[in-house]
Amino acid sequence: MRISSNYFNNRLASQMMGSQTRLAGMQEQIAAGSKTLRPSDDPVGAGQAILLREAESQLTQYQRSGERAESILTSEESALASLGDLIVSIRGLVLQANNDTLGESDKASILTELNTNKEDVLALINSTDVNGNYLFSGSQVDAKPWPTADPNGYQGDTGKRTVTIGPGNTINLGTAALELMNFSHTDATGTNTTVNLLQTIEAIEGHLATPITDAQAHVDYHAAMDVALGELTSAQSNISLHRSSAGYGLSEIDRSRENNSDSTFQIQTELARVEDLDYAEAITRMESELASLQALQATYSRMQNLTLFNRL
Amino acid sequence: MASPLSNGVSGLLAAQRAIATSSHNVANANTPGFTRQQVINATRNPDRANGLTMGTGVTTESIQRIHSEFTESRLRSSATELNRIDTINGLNARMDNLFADASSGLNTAQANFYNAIADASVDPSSPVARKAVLAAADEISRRFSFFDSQFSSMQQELNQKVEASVSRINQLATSIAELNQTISSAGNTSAGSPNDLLDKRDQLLAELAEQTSIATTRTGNYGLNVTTGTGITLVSNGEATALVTTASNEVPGDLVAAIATDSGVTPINDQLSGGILGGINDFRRETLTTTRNEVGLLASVFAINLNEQHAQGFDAEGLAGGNLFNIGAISTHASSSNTSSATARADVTDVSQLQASDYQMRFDGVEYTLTRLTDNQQISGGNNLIMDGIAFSVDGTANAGDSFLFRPTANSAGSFSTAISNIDRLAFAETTTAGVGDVGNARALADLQAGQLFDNRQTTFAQKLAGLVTTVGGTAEASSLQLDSMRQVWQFEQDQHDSLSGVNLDEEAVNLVKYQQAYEASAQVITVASRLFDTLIGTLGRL
Repeated sequence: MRISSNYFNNRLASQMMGSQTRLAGMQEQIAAGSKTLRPSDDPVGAGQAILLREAESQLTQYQRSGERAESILTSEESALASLGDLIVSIRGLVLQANNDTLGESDKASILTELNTNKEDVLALINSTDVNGNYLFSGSQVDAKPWPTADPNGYQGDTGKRTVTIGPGNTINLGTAALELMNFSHTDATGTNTTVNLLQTIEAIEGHLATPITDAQAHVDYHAAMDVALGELTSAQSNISLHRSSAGYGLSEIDRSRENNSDSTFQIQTELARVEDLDYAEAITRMESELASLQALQATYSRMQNLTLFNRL
Repeated sequence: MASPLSNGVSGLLAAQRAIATSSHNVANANTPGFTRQQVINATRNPDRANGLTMGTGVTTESIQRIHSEFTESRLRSSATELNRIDTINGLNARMDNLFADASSGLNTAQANFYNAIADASVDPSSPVARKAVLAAADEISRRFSFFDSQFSSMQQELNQKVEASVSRINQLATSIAELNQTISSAGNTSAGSPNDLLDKRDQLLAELAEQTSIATTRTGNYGLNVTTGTGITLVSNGEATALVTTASNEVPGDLVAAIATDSGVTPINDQLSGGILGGINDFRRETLTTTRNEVGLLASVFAINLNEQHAQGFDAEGLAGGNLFNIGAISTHASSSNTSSATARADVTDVSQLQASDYQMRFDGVEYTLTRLTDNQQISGGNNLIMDGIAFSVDGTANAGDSFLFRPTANSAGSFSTAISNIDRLAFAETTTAGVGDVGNARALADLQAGQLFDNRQTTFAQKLAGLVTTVGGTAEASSLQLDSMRQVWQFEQDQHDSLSGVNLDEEAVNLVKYQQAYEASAQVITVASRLFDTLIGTLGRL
């Protein structure tokens, strides 16, 4: 083939420019530490990255919701534990009060202690989480659930608050105080009724405040204490039931936290595979491109002297 | 008469012309469009006398340009294709760059929005958490607006490119017509082939071929007609026909190339398939319009679904939820050639079936035909046709031949905005009676993140966006590969052309030396002839 003098100039210039374009691309990737700077670098990978980032963000959200739920459930659980302890000590007071050798002054001091315990029960029922939301008022988180000792004084509702803490994994927060205070009780005759804890305490208080004047009153007093003891046992097991459900929620959060962080790790590994640059491989590629550019430049400097006019 | 003197002089002149031609070649070695020239020498007519035929020296018959019409036209058409792909590739690279940041930005914005709703539902009484939901909603609006503003500026830029290209075509066509006039008057004299003028014209044709595909026909000796598309005349010998630009009928806001005749301005962009203009046409049709519609589809489906779910809930004052996001109505355009004043309307009937396409509805006087413009799928019937979850209809009485363009998602990203700014309007509650802790509807809203909202309830927002990113990236990757291989093709044609027509300096150096020697030899012949004469005069002098 006949070669025109511009052939080499044109060819070498375009080859050197091609080589420099590739070098610039590699340099950009090395600077960013990423091999997918634009979707065209890896179209399928770029699409995957969108989905992976979406999934990662969702998992981060599950973790954050889980942490908030954990804080609320921990408050709930500890309030329920204290409530259980309080019922135990109230039951202790009733056992004392049920003693035959008790005098009126002893009853009075038991009554004082019981009053304090009742205040404590109300304080626990009206607990809030760290953000000031009431724990036990159902969905009415801004309404104080039991402002007075009135057994019918519940101000909340029975709405449940549900939180998603993992893929398809939800837990419930905010037990209604009504469900804590009202419990089902089977009396000595085998009849099943719903009793309110405040009512039970109110009844005990009434009996403690009333002096025992005759034998019949004495019998009635002890019978009432026996009934109260039975009811307190039922109340206690009701609280334990709710406490264990809060505990179950906490362990559920733990489990899902572990799952979520496993998944997050997998997603991050996958993202790294799609996006991160293999430096060793990139630098090797760059070296070989540099070598070929140098060879082209050497060729050019040799060729440019190669004209007959230099020798005439 | 045969004489050593006149033979010597003829050789001297021939060598001079050859040296002049070689020096012309050397001087123009780097002139774009120059084709090397060659002297064609021949013996002069011999003398016949006294039974002898004597040679009478050399004459320069012509100076030829070494040129092939076939190679030239192959180079031109490969330059047309190269420029088409180069234009598409440059535009695809811009789209690719836009998606590099903007798509992950939109993805993050929508994920953050759902996360803010989840946060607000864990901490229901917090005004800060609800404010964060509105802030995240505004961020989505900004992301969609950013996309749309980029698409708009691309549209503007393409319009400017079309105008620039059309004006370049007109300039070149005028220059070619003028050159045709010069060439025809030069060609009519007896000065031989007007080589350099023909080179110049070929160079102008090569530049014209970069703008759009052209065809040339020779008329007479050196005359030339140039047409584009399916026979649109650009140059007819000494006359050039100017192209104009006009508004596109298919995509409102686009400028396209057109021809102006007495009967009006007719767009010809459908016919201009190659070069920079063809590349712009292809990119608009295959990428810009589709991608803009796809992003608009994301905006429409997102807004409509969230609005529908939001309407199911109740706000802080127990009122049913209003719109969370605004999007503009489906844009409809009655064709400028319609003879009636009927208007078009379109309503979404099933958001999950929406597609990123434009539609055209045409009335033939009897029935309406609706065409999905991405694949030309058609349905026909009365004046209420349902396709892809949209009811299309015409208000008023249409005349036969009237047509209407519908662009369901073209403006969705641009018109997308947050509809509420007061946290008390967030309808997070499931019932009117429950307290602030009732966030049932917020949870339902958050569930839409994983909701299969697209393609007949098969695809989520993130999947749809990921698919779009893959398409944009794949298109850019493919056009860049196509450009690489087209460069090879063009380079081959250029090499073929240069191999024939390009100047080789070494060859010219050899020719120069060769004709220098011929010149010296001829000069020597003249010296000999002069000595012969002197000898004769000397002899006579002694007489």
